[in-house]
Amino acid sequence: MPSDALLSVRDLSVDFDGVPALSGLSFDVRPGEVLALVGESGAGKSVTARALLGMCPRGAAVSGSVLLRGTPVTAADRGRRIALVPQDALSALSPVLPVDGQLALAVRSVQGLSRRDALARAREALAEVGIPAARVSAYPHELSGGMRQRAVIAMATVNRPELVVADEPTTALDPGTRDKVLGVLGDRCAAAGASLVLVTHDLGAVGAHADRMVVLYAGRPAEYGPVDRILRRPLAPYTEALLACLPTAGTPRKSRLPTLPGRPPAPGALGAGCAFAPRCRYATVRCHTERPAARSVDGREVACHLDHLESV
Amino acid sequence: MSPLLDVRELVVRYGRTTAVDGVSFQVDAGETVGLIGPSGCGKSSTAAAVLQLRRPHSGEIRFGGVELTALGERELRAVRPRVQPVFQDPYGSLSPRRRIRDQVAEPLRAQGRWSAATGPGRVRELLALVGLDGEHGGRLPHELSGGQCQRAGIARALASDPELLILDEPVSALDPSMRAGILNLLLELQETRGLGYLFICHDLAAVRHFSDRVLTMREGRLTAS
Repeated sequence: MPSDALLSVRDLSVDFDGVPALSGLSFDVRPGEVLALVGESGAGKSVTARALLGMCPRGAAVSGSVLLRGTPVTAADRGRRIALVPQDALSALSPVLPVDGQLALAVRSVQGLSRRDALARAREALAEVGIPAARVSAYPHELSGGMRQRAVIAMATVNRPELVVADEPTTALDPGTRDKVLGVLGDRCAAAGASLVLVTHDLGAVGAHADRMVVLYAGRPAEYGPVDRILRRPLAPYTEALLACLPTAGTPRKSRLPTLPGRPPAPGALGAGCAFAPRCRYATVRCHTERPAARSVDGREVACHLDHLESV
Repeated sequence: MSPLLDVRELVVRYGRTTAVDGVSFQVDAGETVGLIGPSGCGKSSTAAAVLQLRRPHSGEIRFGGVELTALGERELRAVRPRVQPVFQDPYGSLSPRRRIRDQVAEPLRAQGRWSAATGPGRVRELLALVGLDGEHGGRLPHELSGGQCQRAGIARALASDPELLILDEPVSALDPSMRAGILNLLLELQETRGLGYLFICHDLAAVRHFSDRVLTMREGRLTAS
């Protein structure tokens, strides 16, 4: 366990009315790195993002620890030391203020600049995310989805947080603008010296933008380690099956692609064994009866019983 | 044999902005033509013109040998069922308040092909074709997964017995496994029904895998690819 972690998550679990949405998640975020949280719909990605910010809804039972440089995240840290970029930019911006005005308020509340200096800093930050000078005084509804998400990125990074959590930041955007906006997000985090937790189901984006990744399945971690290693050679059967669904340069044209048989289990319907066992092509009796603990294999953590992992 | 779709020197303008600037291409029956290019290059405007949702400024769009740009709205009504769209957002392209089976039935009713005796059976057939059952038909869109919703959207497109599908980013919003499932379904439908596809997508690997030919657009024009 490296002691130089910026964010340290240990055995994080979140229950809603006794139904587990997330169970036993541990990972570290190092200073300056981009960590991707990957999984299908319902895998627990957004719950994790909320839990990192200490923003789980009332009624959620959170256990385990989330430490930012050794101390728990408090309300006072949000917007200062840790910032959120949500999927829906419109909900993150005030509809009644121009974007430069609301960014200036955020700057003033943290950096204590004069009104004029705060506005100048806000406009500078908007220029840095690629919003043209003529548009900085626009209201959020007057901007395109990509421009709005850029404004939210400026908002999240302008106060130089230590950590930015981006929850599916580009899912609501036109596919062509996604990569550009992700590029801006990565650049601004790097410029602010912030680490980034990128929540996404887009494995292409993970390959292009992330250093390490956590693969979640049914609220449980399946594999955790460096992106290049995992994408090149996935070890958890779930990661392997997920990557196999994507066509590559070597896939014969118009051939049928592998799909995952069945569906992910409903929350609360998990058996005693591995969550993926019912859909796993390698599953043995043990997989159905005993939940696998994470173990270190080939520079990463894999939660799987399979013997062949011993020989990697 | 003439191609299913024959687009010649297509120009689409919005006011003084030229979105599509002299684009020509063909799609044969049973063929998939991929269309790629950066945001704002005119891909979706090209699709809108082929669907006759946007009247082009100039150029020809021949579908099954018929010149569409010369037709009035009344005559177009006979052609529209034969060219159907499938869009990116599976939830956005369905009404949130109507059951799946009613939405799949809608084209049949609109085209006067609905009867109490044969209609429900036809809807079940269409749902089965895309891998959904009667139980799914009784649900509302938010009660289905994204992949199932996209299947329902495809079933509705198929209700018109189309010959050409305009697929505008049909898998971009889906998880990898659902995405593979939808691409497989579209490949199968093409093989069994000889459908032509115009496939707009940003995922280069998916376009190369799924298309017979790939066209690249930039600033309203096709570039050599």
